[in-house]
Amino acid sequence: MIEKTEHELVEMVNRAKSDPDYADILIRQYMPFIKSELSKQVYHEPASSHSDALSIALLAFYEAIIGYDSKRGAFLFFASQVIKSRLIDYHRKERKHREVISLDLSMSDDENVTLIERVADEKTDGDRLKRRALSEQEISEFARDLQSYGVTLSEVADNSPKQERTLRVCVSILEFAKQEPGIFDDLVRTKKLPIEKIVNGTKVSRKTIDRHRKYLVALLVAFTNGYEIIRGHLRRLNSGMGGER
Amino acid sequence: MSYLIMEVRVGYVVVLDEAGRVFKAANFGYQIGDVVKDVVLMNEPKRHGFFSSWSFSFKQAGVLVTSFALIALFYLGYFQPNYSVYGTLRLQINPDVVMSLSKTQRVLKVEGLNEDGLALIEGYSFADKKSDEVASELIERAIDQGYLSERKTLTIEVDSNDVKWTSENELSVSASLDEKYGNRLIIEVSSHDNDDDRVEIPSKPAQPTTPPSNNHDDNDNNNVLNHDDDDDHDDDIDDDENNDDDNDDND
Repeated sequence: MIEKTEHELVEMVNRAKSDPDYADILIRQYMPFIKSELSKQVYHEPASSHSDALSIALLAFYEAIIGYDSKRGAFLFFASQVIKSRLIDYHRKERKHREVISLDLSMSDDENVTLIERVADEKTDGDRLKRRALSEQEISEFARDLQSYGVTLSEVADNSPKQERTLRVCVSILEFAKQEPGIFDDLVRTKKLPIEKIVNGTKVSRKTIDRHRKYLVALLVAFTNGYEIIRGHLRRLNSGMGGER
Repeated sequence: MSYLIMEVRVGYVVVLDEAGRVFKAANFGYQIGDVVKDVVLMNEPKRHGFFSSWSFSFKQAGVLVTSFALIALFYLGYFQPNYSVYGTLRLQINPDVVMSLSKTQRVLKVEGLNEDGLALIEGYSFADKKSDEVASELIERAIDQGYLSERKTLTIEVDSNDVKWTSENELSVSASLDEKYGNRLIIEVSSHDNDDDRVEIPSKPAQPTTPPSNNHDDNDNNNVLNHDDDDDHDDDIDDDENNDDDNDDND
């Protein structure tokens, strides 16, 4: 790892905040640092959980990148604090939930099916891999489609509504778009959200729409033709709605 | 709730839940297309970053501005009109006293401008009183102390940079004093700028009355009140001066 000045490092961090590719590069560069911090926090855990702890430490380092500003002092010191805090939380939660799950336990979403039956029903590895390959293909295509709208999946995650109420508003916009054919056509043709039509048709404030614009683009694009797996996953969304356009 | 892995990064993955929400979460070796039950979601950055420091500063600034505005309002709306000197009211009997007044005619200070004036206000409390009340009480004190006698002239002079306030107070104080003492005293209003512009408020015809505080039966005409030290009398039309010798004799 090339030693950098604090100033250089801060510049890299600031760039990584808005550039996921650059964030990947930065995290890879500082992997030795992250592993070093992890080793300070290793508890007496089964070996299988060490990789989980590393995943947590990597997420924590990324959180430090997003949450850092110069008022917090040196970045690496800040990052070490975030990693430490995250690992302590994770360890605490893991200790609580570490128990053997009975295979005879009913599945929470279907009381007639036990875990052992669900496992048995699970497709063979080959089927699972095939299904996953199809999902990966569709999702990759979806991500490329979103790029033509100037949107990335990381941005959609940042832009996604977190509160139930806002989510319902966004879903109501999708509902409106399904009943108003021109909305999807305008979206696909212009690569932009037809905000004016949505405001006039739904009475949702322009401010709300602007605030969640990238998410709304992704949601509407998912309901254009071709994204059955993604739409199929949205069971709770579809339960209140009529399916694709 | 299950989550569909949408994007895989070194530090995180992007997941889609069944309700349509999209999150960043820890990457436990996932691949795109995986569906998982449990995820460790990324913590939302607490608002200590750029925007929060701005908003915090705005909040701080807002609180400060509001505080200053309230203090200014309090000062301008309450303190200044009631506790800052806005003008003066001078009473010239023989004792010469001047009151410093707030805009709301609250008396803030009373000063004696001559020896008699100092004696008049000795031990006098003007706290929380308005100008007409203090003027009236000082006149009573002057009467009690023998400075004022029947048909003596009392001159009031109001002064301020505010012309309107000055004239309003002149009228107010003179009307108030006239109502109480107009039958006994001559009340004059003197303008600060032009002493010649004297407005004489005619008193009611004098009627024989019992002297308010002293027993002086000798004076048939004027109900003269005692006044021992007359050396500084420099006004007026006072028939009673002729009777001073008599009064002195009676003491």
